[in-house]
Amino acid sequence: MTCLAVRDRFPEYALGTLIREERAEVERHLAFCAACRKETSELQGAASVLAFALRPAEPEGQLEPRVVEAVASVAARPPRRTRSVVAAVLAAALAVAGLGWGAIMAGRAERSDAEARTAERLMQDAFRRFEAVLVGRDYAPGTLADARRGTLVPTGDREGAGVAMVLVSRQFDDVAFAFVTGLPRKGAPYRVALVAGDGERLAVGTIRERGLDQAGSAEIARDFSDEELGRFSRVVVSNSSGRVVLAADVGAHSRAAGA
Amino acid sequence: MEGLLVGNEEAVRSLYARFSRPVYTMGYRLLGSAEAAEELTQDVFLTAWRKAARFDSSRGRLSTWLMTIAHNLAVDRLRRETGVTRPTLVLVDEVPESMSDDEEEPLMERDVAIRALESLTDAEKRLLARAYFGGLTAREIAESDGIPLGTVKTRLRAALIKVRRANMDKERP
Repeated sequence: MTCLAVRDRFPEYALGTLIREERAEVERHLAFCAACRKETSELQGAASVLAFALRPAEPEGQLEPRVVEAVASVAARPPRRTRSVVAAVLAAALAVAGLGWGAIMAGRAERSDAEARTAERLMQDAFRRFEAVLVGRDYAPGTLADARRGTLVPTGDREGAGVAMVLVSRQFDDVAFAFVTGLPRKGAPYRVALVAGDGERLAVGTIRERGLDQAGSAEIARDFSDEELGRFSRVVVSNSSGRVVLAADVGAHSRAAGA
Repeated sequence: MEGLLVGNEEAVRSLYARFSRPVYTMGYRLLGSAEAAEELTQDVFLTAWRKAARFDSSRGRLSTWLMTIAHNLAVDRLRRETGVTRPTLVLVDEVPESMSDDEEEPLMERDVAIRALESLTDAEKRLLARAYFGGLTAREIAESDGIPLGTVKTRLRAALIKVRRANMDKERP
């Protein structure tokens, strides 16, 4: 966006009322435009005056030790390396793919119910191992508030299958992950997104044609440093025409803290 | 901020002493309960720790940075949670005509803020409050008032600039 186009949004950006996508567009512009950063900073300063003008409410005395202890205890933990988490996710995904369940899942529409159930069980087993990798490596017990997983199933007569997981952490960045298989190359690029109950969408990423292997498989993971993913209940994969081809319900909570 | 980065308890205490009241107040007024305000306060200081490395004092004041974090977290929560009643127009009603004598030094900033807001008309205060405390978008305000979206945006900008200028004047000795 140009400065002229993005400036129109600055008052709402400062007041915190832009919708998520608009806010992200503004921030992308601010990342490289010093003049606009200065202007938004001034407007944010003015907005914060509103907060300081409120009649004060007094927090209870016990809140201070709780806050200080919370920050100190999180800071005392070894620094979490985002890359290592995403790498762990992808490594686990490859191990899952190696089980061969993906290929079974992709063709399950033509297979018997028994085979479909076997595939489902394999997937669940794989995912339990997958969670264990994450919990064991980077998410200390108690910091992983919520791990949600779901099966990506084709919509209508579409092809493909997959699994999706959303990890919600109390102290660390949240992570969304999807493994897909059996996607036709002609439908690429595929866009993976999180969808909340109120229809809000948040992009996880794009799977391009070159990212799909022979079986139409790919994995994608994204670390969200400024987002809290707890409100998202579905993961959808859309093809190049924007049609949803795979969808997973990840609304069911699966408490993994301390697992 | 260096102390905050490593979780130095004194640094966190110092930041807490300086900003816990406005942060808690924001939570209490926007979210409507002591419990929600306490959760927000803890989340704000944890987020500040996570983002401390990104704070750049040449780009703005620490108070603005922290209150922006607090406001974004509060509004996100307000939008996310069903059943949370949007706050009434707290600003106009709650700005007292004069400061009470027993308010101490930490409230100096409030004194400055109140005087900066005196530069606004009641209509401008109400407009900013609907956006900032009510979480209403410019489009929602335009639809509700039956006026063009561009007009709302222009008024929001003009009101913020007035506050900005008045605040700069008040901060000067």
